[in-house]
Formats: sequence, structure tokens, C-alpha cells
Amino acid sequence: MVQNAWLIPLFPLVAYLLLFVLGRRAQEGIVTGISVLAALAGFIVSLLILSDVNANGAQAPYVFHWLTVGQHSLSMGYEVTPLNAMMLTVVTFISTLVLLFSKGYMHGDERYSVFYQYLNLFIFSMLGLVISPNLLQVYMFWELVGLCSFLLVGFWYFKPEAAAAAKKAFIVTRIGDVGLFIGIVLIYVATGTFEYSGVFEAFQAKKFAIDWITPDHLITLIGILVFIGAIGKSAQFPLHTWLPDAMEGPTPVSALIHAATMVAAGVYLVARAFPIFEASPDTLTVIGIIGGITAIFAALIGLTQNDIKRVVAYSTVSQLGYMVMALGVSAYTASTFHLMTHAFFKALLFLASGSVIHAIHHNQDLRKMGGLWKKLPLTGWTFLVGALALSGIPPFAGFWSKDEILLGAYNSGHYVLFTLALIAAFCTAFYIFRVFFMTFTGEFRGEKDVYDHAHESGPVMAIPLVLLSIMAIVVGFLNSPLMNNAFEHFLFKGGEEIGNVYEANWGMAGLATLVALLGIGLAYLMYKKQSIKPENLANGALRPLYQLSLNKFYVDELYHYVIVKPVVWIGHILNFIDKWIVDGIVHLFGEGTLIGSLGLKYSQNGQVQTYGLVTLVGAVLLIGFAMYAVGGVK
Amino acid sequence: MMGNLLTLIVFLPLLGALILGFVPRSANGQPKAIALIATFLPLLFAFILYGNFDSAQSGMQFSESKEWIHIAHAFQDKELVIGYSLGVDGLAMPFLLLTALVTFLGVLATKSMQRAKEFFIWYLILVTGLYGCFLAQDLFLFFLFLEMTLVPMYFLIGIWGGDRKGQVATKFLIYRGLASVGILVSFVALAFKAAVVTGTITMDMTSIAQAFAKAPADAITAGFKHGIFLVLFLAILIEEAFFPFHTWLPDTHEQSPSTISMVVGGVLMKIGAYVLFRIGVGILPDAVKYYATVIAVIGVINIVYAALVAMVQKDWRRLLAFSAISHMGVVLLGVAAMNQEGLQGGIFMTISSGLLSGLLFFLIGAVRERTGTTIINALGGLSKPMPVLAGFLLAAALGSLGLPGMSGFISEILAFMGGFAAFPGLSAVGTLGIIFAAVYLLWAMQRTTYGPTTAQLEGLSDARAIEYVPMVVFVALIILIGVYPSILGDLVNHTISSYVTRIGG
Repeated sequence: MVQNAWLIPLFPLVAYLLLFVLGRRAQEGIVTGISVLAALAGFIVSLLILSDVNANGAQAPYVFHWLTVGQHSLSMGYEVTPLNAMMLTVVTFISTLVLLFSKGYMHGDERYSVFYQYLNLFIFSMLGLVISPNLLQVYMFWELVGLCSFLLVGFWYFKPEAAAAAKKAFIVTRIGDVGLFIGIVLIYVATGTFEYSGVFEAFQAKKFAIDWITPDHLITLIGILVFIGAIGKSAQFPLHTWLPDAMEGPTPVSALIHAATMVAAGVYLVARAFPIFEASPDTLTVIGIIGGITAIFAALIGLTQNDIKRVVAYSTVSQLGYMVMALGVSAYTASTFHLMTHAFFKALLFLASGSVIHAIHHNQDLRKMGGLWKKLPLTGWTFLVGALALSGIPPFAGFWSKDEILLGAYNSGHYVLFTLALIAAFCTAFYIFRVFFMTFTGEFRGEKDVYDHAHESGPVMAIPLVLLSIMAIVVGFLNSPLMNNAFEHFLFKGGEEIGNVYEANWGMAGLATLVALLGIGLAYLMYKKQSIKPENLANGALRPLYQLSLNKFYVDELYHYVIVKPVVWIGHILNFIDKWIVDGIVHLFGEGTLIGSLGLKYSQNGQVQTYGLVTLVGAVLLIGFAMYAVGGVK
Repeated sequence: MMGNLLTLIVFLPLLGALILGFVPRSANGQPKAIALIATFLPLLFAFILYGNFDSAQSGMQFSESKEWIHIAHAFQDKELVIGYSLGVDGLAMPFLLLTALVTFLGVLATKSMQRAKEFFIWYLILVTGLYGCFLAQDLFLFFLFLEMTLVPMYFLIGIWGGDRKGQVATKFLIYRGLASVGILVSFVALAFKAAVVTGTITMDMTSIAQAFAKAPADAITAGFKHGIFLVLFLAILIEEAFFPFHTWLPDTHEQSPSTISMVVGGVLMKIGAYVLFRIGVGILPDAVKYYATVIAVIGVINIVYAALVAMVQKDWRRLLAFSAISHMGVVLLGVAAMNQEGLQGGIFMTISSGLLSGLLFFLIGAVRERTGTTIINALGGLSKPMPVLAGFLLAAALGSLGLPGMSGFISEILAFMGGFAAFPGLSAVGTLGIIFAAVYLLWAMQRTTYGPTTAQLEGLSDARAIEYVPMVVFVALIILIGVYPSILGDLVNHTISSYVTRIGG
């Protein structure tokens, strides 16, 4: 079955081309039908491959020749490993549901078909990235994923904010991409190949064709460069700023970006290319620290945001931080497991948020919500499941995977990271239940008219919510002692174990649960019972901290004044120099030597004969000189 | 059958110009029809040659050679031979196809205008000059064809250009005239020095290359090669519009009619790069290697400088000019690396930049025709009235900023694969260009096609049927090279390998 893996990305590609040919006036039902069927077909093939890999383990990649460069041959192809079989399954599953959900959410949009085209291209790119057997191919799909998120974030292009957010997403991630670009180019120069297997061997042997740096330093340098790519794509600090702005895109896009495609790519790459990072303890340390900072930093910002999608977006940044940190402390299994569980409950949270937003006329401001439980019971229940999973309450999915990450940080002796992660877990539980209480309990704070018309949106939006809720409840058991850590056994099927694995520790589980419950409790007191007034905190002693969090630690402003403005200024200065100095000197030179002798009055009248003559005379003189000087004529 | 195809390709446009001379001035549409035929036939022939081209060979194919000027006792009693010789190898083939394509699509894209007959006469003379430059196998012949591009360009800008046309046409002429002088000087020096070794003064490129490769070190000294390369390189810098000799290019693009911008950006300015490969790398590889660091530094300066200046341009045409300069900086970096990856990347980038420039200037011309402007801030929200044109513009911008799956990416990464092997530090600085390209192109796109549509831009018409031809052809080729680069790589691979072996030896 594994040899048919190429079919999986092909389905959405074909769907994309079909929709492209059908044009933008295609019927909504047909558009959705084609897309959902393609993704579903991909999901079914993925399941078959999953069971094949579960039985037989990883297999050698299938490659074909792509380009000859002197002695080297670059190839393209596909491969299936337990890790990417898992990714294929998750991506196709979530994609299918998002495509279905979009039928309700995008109904009536002028560019409905275009939206589905982009979604299919997006899914194709992510699947292509996942089955790539070499880093060049990864990079190509990596950029295509970035392109699709650019197109989708800016889908409502007539909104200036959407256009700006799309551009920002592309440029900020591209800064990271250049790190990856240099990283893989150096890998090629050092090892002569882009193939994972060849690169890993060279990294083990530490034999490189680069001599301006010691092998050990080169390993660290390359590791960090490649990781910079992941920082951009997975929205890690300090390149996280694009992800919350990307909320300008339609909500199904957010679900896709945050759960299955785009941001998962960074974590996936670090996991897939783990031997590159593992070869240098320094690289791992950097990865761990960046992940830890991101986890806590985004969680702190999430505490105060007023846009429902932004809170969920910051929770993604924070959860990605957990995954990255876990890789940094070599908790490989925990990280990939969290990547999987997070995909389900984060897609759930976004689609549930989308259902809320859709029901109340595309309002995203939490301050204008409230009391929606009665109107949207199914959405409320499913959001609650997602929130519990995100908070890490047993037995929901996030509990199992987050617990393993905490354990991994603690057992490997990274106590600072462990503490940060624990605090972040508290914040996570608090902010997501703040959203829950502000949305579904209390009184509606928006216009009464809107509230009266709010209602659930029918089966195309309900089915994805229910299926994802089920997954968010059960999927965590896969790597629990209750199922004998099945996920872990699957992940290392037919290969060596990577990273550290620890026995379940019920004490740690208890601590993590307690912290999460405390967070939920505080949110309950503040936003349900209102026995602690949030306004009092925001305007009281905590005001500076509140402002800091609300304004996202002013990182955007910092970048604007420290990077964007200066670069544009340099551009203006250089443009001035170009116009008045570079061009000016040439003008002077030209007019002084060539035209000056003939009198300036001829210089602007366009006498082509004159210039022809001047050129000819000059040429003859120069040739004469040259012949004399080189010794041909004497 | 292939016997005289190259001659036909070169001179059919000129024949078209002659025929046009007899067409009455008043004839409507006829000039364009004749120009279409006179550029389509060479396109057809070029593709026939491509179909019969053997890419496993590194030498010249389909050669035509006739003795043209022969003086038995020229200087120092040596024999002087100037040949009319044309040929194609793996290096020239992509340039031939590029010229054929861009010049034909240029005619197709030309809107009706005043004095169309004269326009096409000059245009066709220019086309013959362009073909000649890439096909000539004799330095003297090359030089003649190069000069043949000068005068038509002067009139094409000077008569049909924008409000500063006179000044800019003159500037174009002076700049490129100077470049010609440098090229001529270095050619003459090359021929005479080769004669010291062979005993015959010949302008034949292959003979000169062989003479230089075989000559003992005392016959042709390193100092001589370095000196001659410097003169040639200076000319290339002007010809190819590299900093600090680039200022003619933004002016030319700004003031030219869009057809001419397509041809300048697509083909004409690539002559400099072609000379760098053909004469610089092909005949003076030691000198290129000797000055590699200088070339790489100039390349990186161009990448970064032009990208920064592009960022603040107000006019799309100037932005695209600086964008092209920045991209051609990557070519210099690749050449300076003097390895297989770098040289291949350099050729890829030259061709890719030609295709993308052709497409971009066509699109900006189409936008200008409808909106009356190319000033970025005067546009906005074009996606609504013209989704197709806006979509193609986005595709072209993405190709230009190096999106994988399109020709720019594979060119860029190959050049940097070479660059990082030879100059890791400089190359790292050069990668800034990758970020900046995304910034200036997407920023311009954001202001042009995104956002709300202003009232006066609403209701404008989208692409006409005929306009799909250039757009689709360009995009198809750009994607083809991006997805299956072997289509270009197989052509150039052997020629470059032969260069690289020579450097290694």
C-alpha cells in the first residue's frame, strides 16, 4: 500500500485543477462535493497506509531523477514512515471536516469556488511536504504552504486588514524560511545531498566538505538555521507575530492553519529531521529555550485578548511552544503525540468558534457575546470538550500529551523549562475558560436583535464538530498506559527509538491536573460568578501588566520601529543616492567628456548622428590604443 | 534541411522590415500582421532547431560558416580572417528560444498606435540584432549585431516613449555605446593575442577560446588576461545594468512603450549576461576566477542595493527594473562561484528573469492601458474589476520572488548552492534579497490589487482573449521550468561541464 502514497496529495491537487477549470461560477454543492470526496479518498488511503506501516514499519523512499547538476543528481519522490503516516491521516481527516464545515460557513460568498480551490491547494501542499523524502522537496512544499496561507488569510482581499495580514504572514515566515534555505544549501554543500538518509549518515560520520568551520560547529550552525525555518512556520518567538493577525482569514482557514497545515509543518520538520538537531546539544538547548519562552509568552498574551479567535490563536502559539520545547528536551514521542492530539482539539476549538461567529453575524468580540449556551447548545458542548482537552483535564486528549511533555522536561533536569510550562498550563486553562464563560454564560452583551436570530447552522457544521469532539475525547488514550502506549510503539515500528521515553508518573499527572483546575477555577470566579471583577484587576495594581499583555508585549511596535521603519528609510536614502549621486556623477562624466567638447547645446536635442560620431571616434581611439598596448601592432 | 535555418531566423525579421518599407503608411493593421509573420517564423524555426538539438554534445550545432573578409597580409604580415558564422550550443539555445518567444509575444501585445509602420520597422531591425547577438560565432559579427540593436532602440524610445523620451533615449544610447566600446576593445585584444599563438588573426570565438586554453603561460600572460577581462567586465556591467552603471535601465523601462519594455527586460539586457558566460567564462576563465571575489562582492551589492531601492519606488516599471537588477546580481554571485551549481544557476536565473520580466512588463502595460497609470498608489483593489489580470500579476510576482514550482526558485537556489560553496559569508548577505523581494513585490501587490476598489477603477475590463496568449505562454514556461527544471538543465549541463573542467584543469 505504501507505494501508493503519492495518491494522497494527488487527490486534492486534482480537485484543485478541476475546480480551477470549472471556474468561479460552479455550483456550491458540486464544489464542496468534489473537494470533500478528494480529501476523504486521501483519508481512506492514509488509513490503509497507516495499517500497512503498523504491520511492516517504515520503508525505503521512492525517488525519481529531477535535475542533473554536474556530477550530482537531484531527485524528488515520496516516502512513508510511521511519523508521516500519522500526519497524513490527521491532515486528511481534519481537512475533510474543514471542507465540509466551509459549506455552511462560506455559503453565499462571491468567490466560494476560489476559496475551495485555495483550500485544496493548501491541503495538497501540506501533504506533499509530509511525504517528501528530501529537504529540497520539503522546502518547495514548505513555501507553497506559505503561499496558500497568504492567499487564504487575504481571501477577503478588499478588507485592508486582511491584505496587510496576508502580506505579514508571508514576509514574517519568509524571514524564517531564509534560515531554512541557508540551512539546506549548507547541508548540500557539506554533504552533497538533500536526502534525509544521506544527510543523517553524514551527520553521524561528521565528514563534511566544508572546511571554514569545525564539524561540530557546522552541525550546530545548520541545526539552528533549519530550526529558524521552524520558528517562522510554527510561529515561535520571536517570529510569532504573524499568526494572530492571520485571524483575518475566514475561520475554516484558521482551523486548517492551526491544526493540520502550516504551523504543524515546523514541528513536523524538526521531528522528521531530528538526527540533525540531536547531533548537537547546543542546538537542542536553543530549541528547548525558544519553545519554553514561546509557551509562556503566548499564554500570557492570551489572558487578555478580546477577540475570540485571537485567544485561540495565542493558545496555538503557546501549544506549539510546548511541542518545540519537548523536542528540545528530547521528549520526541511526547512532542509528536501532542502534535497529533492538539490537531484535533484545536481544529475543534476553531470550528466551534467559527460556529459562534457565524451565528452572531461575524462578530468576534468577546465583549459582545454571552449567554449563547441556550442558543447554541451543540456548539457550547463541543467548545467545552475542546476547552477541557486544551486545559489538560483527564481524560481528554490534551491531558495525556501535555502531561508527557511536562514529565519529559522534569525528568531530563530542565527545571526552569518545566516551571515555565507549568505556569503556562495554568494560564491556558484560565484563558480558554475565560472565553468559554464570556461566550456561553451570563447575559448577551451585543445587540438583542443579533441574539434573537442566533441559531445552530445545520448538519454540515454540526457533523465536523461532533466528530472532532469524539476525537478530542478518545485520541489521548492512544499513548496512555491504558492502551500500553500504543502510539509510541507505532512511532518506532521497524526503527530505532528516538529521544527519551518515561514511565507514566501519576504524581505529575495529578500536579498538572491540579494546576489546570486552578486556572479554570479562577476563570469561573472572575467571569461566571464575577466575585473577582476583571475590570478592577485591569485598572488596579495590575494595570501595567494588563496593558503589557493586552498589547502583546509591544513586539509588533518594536519591530515596526526597529526593523520596518529603518529598512524603509535605508531604501529612501539609497534611492536618493541613486537618483542624485550615482546617476548624477554619470551624467557629469558623460556630459563632461563626451558632450562637453561639442557644446552643451547639442546634448538635449537628440542628434543621433552626433552621438554615433562621438562613439565612433572614441572607439577608434580606444582600439588604436588597445592594439598598441597589447602589442599586436607596433 | 537545418542548413540555413539560423540565417533565416536572424534575417527574416530584417526582411520583414524591408517589406514593411513598401507598405503604404496608411495601411491599417498590415504592419502588425507583417511583423507577426516576421517574428513567428523565426519562433517556429527556433523550436524546430530545439527539437533536433542534441543536448548530449557540448559543441556548436547547426553551424553555418562562410569566410567573409580575408586579408592575406594584414597587421604584422599575418592573415586576417573574419567569418560569417552562426551556431547554437547548450548556452545559446535557451537564449535563442527566449528571444524568439519574447519578440513574437511583444508584437502580439502591441496595441494600435501612431506611426505603427515605422514602429515595426525599427522593431524588426532590433529583433535581427538580438538574434544575431546570441547566434554569432564570430566576435566581429557579434559586435555588428550588437550595434544593430542600438539605433532602433534609440528611435523606439525617442519617438514612442513617455514624457522624457528624448533624454532617456540619449541616455540609453550613450550608456550602451560606451559598453560597445569596451566590448570592441576587448574583442580586438583577444583576437590579436590569439593571433600571437595561432599565427592567423581570426575573430572566430571557438578558435580564440582554444588558443587561449592551449597557449603557454609566457605567450599569453595572466596579467594580460586580467586586464582584458576588466575592460570586458566593465562593459558587461553597463550592458547588463549593474550598479553603479544601472541608471539607464529604470529610466528606459519607465519611458519605453510596454512592448519595448518587454523586449528590453526579456532579451536585450540579457546580452550582457550572455557575454559574461560566452566570453568571460568561456574564453577567460582564469581571469574570472582571479576576480571572483570582486565579482561576488559586486553581485551581492547589486542584490541588496537594488532590492532596497526597489522597495521605495512609486512606479511599477521602476520597481520592476530594480527588481531585475537585484535578480541579476544573483547571476554574478553564481558566476563568481565558478562551479557547476553556480554557473547553471546563473544561466537559469538569466532565462528566468527574462521570462518573468517579459510577463511582468506585459501585465503592467495591460494595467496601464486600462487605468492610465503605473503609479502604485494610484491603483488599488484591481482584483475586483479585473480578477484575471490581477491573478496573473500575482503569479508573476510570486515567480519573481522565488516561489518554488516556478522558474525563479530553482535558479536562485542553484546559484546559492554554488555561492555558498565558494563565498559563504557573501552569499549569506545575498540571501537578504530573498526577503526583500517578498517585501517589495507583495507590498506593491497589496497596494495594487488588494484593498477597496476606488470609484474610477471600477468597471474596467478584464483580459481580452488575445491577451491570454502571452500570459498563459509565459506562465506555462515559468511553471514548467520550476516543476521540471531538466528541460532547461539538460540543455546547458554539458556546456557548463566543459567550462568547469577547463577551470579545474
